[in-house]
Amino acid sequence: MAKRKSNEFLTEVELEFMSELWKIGEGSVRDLQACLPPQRKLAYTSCATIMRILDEKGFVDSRKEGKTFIYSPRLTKDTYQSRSLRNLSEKLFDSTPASMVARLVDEYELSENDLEEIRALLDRRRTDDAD
Amino acid sequence: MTLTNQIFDIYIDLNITLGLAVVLWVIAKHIGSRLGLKLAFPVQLSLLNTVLVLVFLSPLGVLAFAHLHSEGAVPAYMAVNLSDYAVSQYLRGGIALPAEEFQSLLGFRAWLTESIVTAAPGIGLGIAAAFAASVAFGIGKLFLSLTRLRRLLAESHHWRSHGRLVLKLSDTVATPFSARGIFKNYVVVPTEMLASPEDVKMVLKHEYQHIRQGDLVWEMVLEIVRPLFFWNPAFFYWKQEVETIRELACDQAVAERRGVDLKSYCMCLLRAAEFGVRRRQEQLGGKRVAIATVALLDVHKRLFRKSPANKLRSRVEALLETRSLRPHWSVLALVVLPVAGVILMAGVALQKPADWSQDRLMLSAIINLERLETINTLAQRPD
Repeated sequence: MAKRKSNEFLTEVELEFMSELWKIGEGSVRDLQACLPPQRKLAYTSCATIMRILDEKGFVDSRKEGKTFIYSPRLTKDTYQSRSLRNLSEKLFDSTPASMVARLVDEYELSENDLEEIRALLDRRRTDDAD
Repeated sequence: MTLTNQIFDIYIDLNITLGLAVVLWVIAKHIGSRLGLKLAFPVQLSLLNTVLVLVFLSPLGVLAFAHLHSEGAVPAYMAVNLSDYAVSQYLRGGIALPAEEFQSLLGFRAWLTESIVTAAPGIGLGIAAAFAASVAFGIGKLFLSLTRLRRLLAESHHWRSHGRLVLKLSDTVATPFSARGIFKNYVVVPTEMLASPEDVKMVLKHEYQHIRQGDLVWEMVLEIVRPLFFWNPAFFYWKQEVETIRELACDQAVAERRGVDLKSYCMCLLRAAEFGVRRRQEQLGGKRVAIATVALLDVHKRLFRKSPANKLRSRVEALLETRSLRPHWSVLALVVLPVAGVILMAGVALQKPADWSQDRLMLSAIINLERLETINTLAQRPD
């Protein structure tokens, strides 16, 4: 088995594959290839290479069924989202998540409903912390 | 003369000969552009590499020439010596300097070499210390870069291998590049590029062409000798010229291959540049591809160099320029032979004169007479 390479983050193309894998739960290279939009025109070998890299990086588990490898995610989408946000907050917002949220609110023109949802989330968090 | 002096003399001669090679190259380029002659880039690259080999082999040529001269196999008039020529010009009144000053000017190089080699207190020690420190710094930097390259290769994902060629995928590099190990050639491609199979094909053709042209070996050689030539602008000019022309030569060779569409190739370069710049910005200028590698394109700004955008523009312009000459190798030999002759003769002319010639004896006599006259003048002065 290839040596695991430590890299906590996904490249754009790897994220595309992981997103499909999170959607279907588990699958072979062929299954993932079928999930991609037809205009992608990615060769089977390229898809297989990307999956092998994801395996090496520890993002997926693989098991052999007959002659094909079946891949399944080793971490959930939520976990990766948190990891990416933490990284973004550390690298780009000097570890001040508040400024990251402020930028998000400014840039995305959040609706009243969105803001209400965020407020409810923060309230819930505050109640949890108080307990 | 000690062995250290001899080695130092050869080193200084190499630096001067390299400077001469740069002058010859610039003159040839200027004449070519005035006459409207444009050599194909692969031909220019071969010429550059051949001249560099000639420069590095010139000390051996000088040794062979000296041997043949001592055996009487070379006519005496061919053994030109710059210092002897200067003395004869002085005696003919071509140089207006007091004899003693002229003598010390002639002996300046020998004096400086001696001071540096023996680390004589003062200027000799200063230069020797600064030189040793700079060479050590250069060697240290080279090792650091090679270690970084090694780490980068180790961290990259194995993709494919064909014999001595290993293809790798990396999450961190900004542009595809090739590098040479002791036994293997490596081509590293950003993982993102897998999403564009057409670009991957073009990029691999480009990198394979670099390997075919032997660019990885030349780059390695130039990087290894760089710490020794750190103070010589001629070396940096030469290296920059090689770096520029090898990319243009590679582009030209790839674009001429069957099945390669020129427009698609240019668009591929543009996309690679776009991706590289984006990656550079994401990493805030970090993770530059280590030295001793040959990259598809440079996306980092470098001191005294054209900006990456200008370089890319020149490459696309060069690709669209189809009128270039590819002379037969025998015509090229006709160009290289005189250059080789000039480099060899320059090497011979820079050597120290073998013995006391008539002119030198005359110069020495003039100096002694001038000294006697000074002493006599002083003796006649009333108390």
